[in-house]
Amino acid sequence: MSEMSSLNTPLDSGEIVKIVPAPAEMQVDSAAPRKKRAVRRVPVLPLLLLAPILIFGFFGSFLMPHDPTMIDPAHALQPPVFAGGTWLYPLGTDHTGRDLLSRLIDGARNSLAVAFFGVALAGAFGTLIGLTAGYFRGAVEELLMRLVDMQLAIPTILLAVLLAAVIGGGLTTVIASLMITFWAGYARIVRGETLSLMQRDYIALARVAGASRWRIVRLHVLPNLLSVVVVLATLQLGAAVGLEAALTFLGLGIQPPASAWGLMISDGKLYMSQAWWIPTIPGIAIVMTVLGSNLFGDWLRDRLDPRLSQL
Amino acid sequence: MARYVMRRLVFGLLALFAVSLITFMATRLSGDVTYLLVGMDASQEEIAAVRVQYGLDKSLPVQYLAYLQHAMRGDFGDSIKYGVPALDLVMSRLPSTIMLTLTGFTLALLIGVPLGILAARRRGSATDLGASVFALVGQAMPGFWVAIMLQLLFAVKLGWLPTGGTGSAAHIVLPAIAMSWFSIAAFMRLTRSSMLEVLDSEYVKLARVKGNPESVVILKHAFRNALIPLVTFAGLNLGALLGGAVVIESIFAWPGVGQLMINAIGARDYPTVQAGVLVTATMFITINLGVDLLYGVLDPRIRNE
Repeated sequence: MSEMSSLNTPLDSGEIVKIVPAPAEMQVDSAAPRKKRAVRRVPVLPLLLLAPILIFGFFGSFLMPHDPTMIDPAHALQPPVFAGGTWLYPLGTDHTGRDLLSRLIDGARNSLAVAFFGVALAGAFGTLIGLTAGYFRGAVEELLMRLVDMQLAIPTILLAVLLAAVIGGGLTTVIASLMITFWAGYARIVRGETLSLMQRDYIALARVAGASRWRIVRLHVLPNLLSVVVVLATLQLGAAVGLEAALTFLGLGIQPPASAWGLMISDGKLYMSQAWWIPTIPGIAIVMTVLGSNLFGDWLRDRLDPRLSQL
Repeated sequence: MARYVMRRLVFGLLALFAVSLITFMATRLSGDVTYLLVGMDASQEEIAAVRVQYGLDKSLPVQYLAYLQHAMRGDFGDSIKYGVPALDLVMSRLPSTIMLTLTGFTLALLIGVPLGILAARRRGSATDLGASVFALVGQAMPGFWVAIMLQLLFAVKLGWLPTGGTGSAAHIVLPAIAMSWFSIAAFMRLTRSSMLEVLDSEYVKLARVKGNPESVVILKHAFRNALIPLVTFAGLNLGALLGGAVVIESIFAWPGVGQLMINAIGARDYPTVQAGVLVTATMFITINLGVDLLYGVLDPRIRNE
């Protein structure tokens, strides 16, 4: 803040832009201040939850004990080690004798890649829309933000269903559904942030200095949007993994014989009376991923920018 | 208030219009619809006749207008799978979906809200901690997996409740719990934080100083003011439940619109999917409109905005 207030002086005399100093009393609310929780330096719990999934995702090909798609009817429905099985199949096998650990590892890679890609696309598109709305204001803003409202007024699962009906289930359908679901959130937040950034002194200064629009956006606005976009993306990653799994479970997403957590659960559903572990284990992996990335996102938000508590 | 109502109404109509445009575009995106209608082995003459009959020889905007006209009359064409009007099919399944959604919603409110109040009242206690952990973990569990775990435990292992289908009151228990799972956690979290905020305020302190019994302070002074964010969320949540029904219904073989749509996708039955999407989206938009209006009644600041 200190370097900003020092910038106030030369500009105030210039009457080119009106600078509104943040009134000090705005900070002090009538309500008693909430108790501040210390933000951990290292997010232990989220990392513990995410570590196995990330290791699976990145080093999966070295870790898989079997070929995740290899069918072996002689060893079908083997129980996992902790339910009386052998170490040959640590998490047991499914109804066709495929090794569940290998499928879990392979599925981690697929699920994470899809969720990541979907959220990244949504983030890029939503940021572009939000930035355009916040920067240009006026009719453009009105139009884009109504579009955002409209997107939020249509349940995503319906759009996914519609998409699946038209182009069939598959990678494109999931990634497009993720993008459609999540872009509006970015557009909303980024617009708000851009609006407030545009009020800052350094933007005004850059304008006075004759910087072009593109230069202002690139050097002064975009870098300052980074933390809010990253926090939102982290918080959405968990939801994206969950949505991907649900669509795949319904047969609208990743298609067999590929491995995916949603597929493992839908296969396992048919055999759960004999093999409870088949639908249970991939679900636990999903819960760990979602919980881990939600908690990690919370931590990141508190760490980067405590103002963003509404995210 | 009139201005506010008008604005929300116009927005609701626009959203519906957008849904209709999307459903229309979606079918046209899939390539030439003609082959869906006539089959692959049709002759050139048959194809041309069908194109004229369905107006597919016209330009896209003209086609859309025709589609809109039909849609407004409730005509989405016949279901390819069942050969009856698609809208009739959807409407016959709608009561089941509404029943399941409302049961799930009621359950979420009845469990989530009191739990949230309790957690806020005993802030920092074991109850609060337990409820918060439940909310955190509960929100991380995907609904479809919760559904299967419930089936596994209560239907397959314990045999207390049926795995799926309809027929008795017991049939709705598992799907309703599975559906409301996420919402229970969400309502609990929101009620807790909303209550904590209100309990901190001057007027609640005053109510206490005046010597009101604790129950009056909590329910009359605090809870009523904590309600406003809850109402907004409840509306959004009712819509989300309606969407979630798609997944839950197909797991429990619950004969609602969701199950119908998922089965229709498998059969490439576009008219049914279209009608299902439009009917569900219309309900969703209407619910949100209702909530916005209710919000205006509850919070005078919005009305006069």
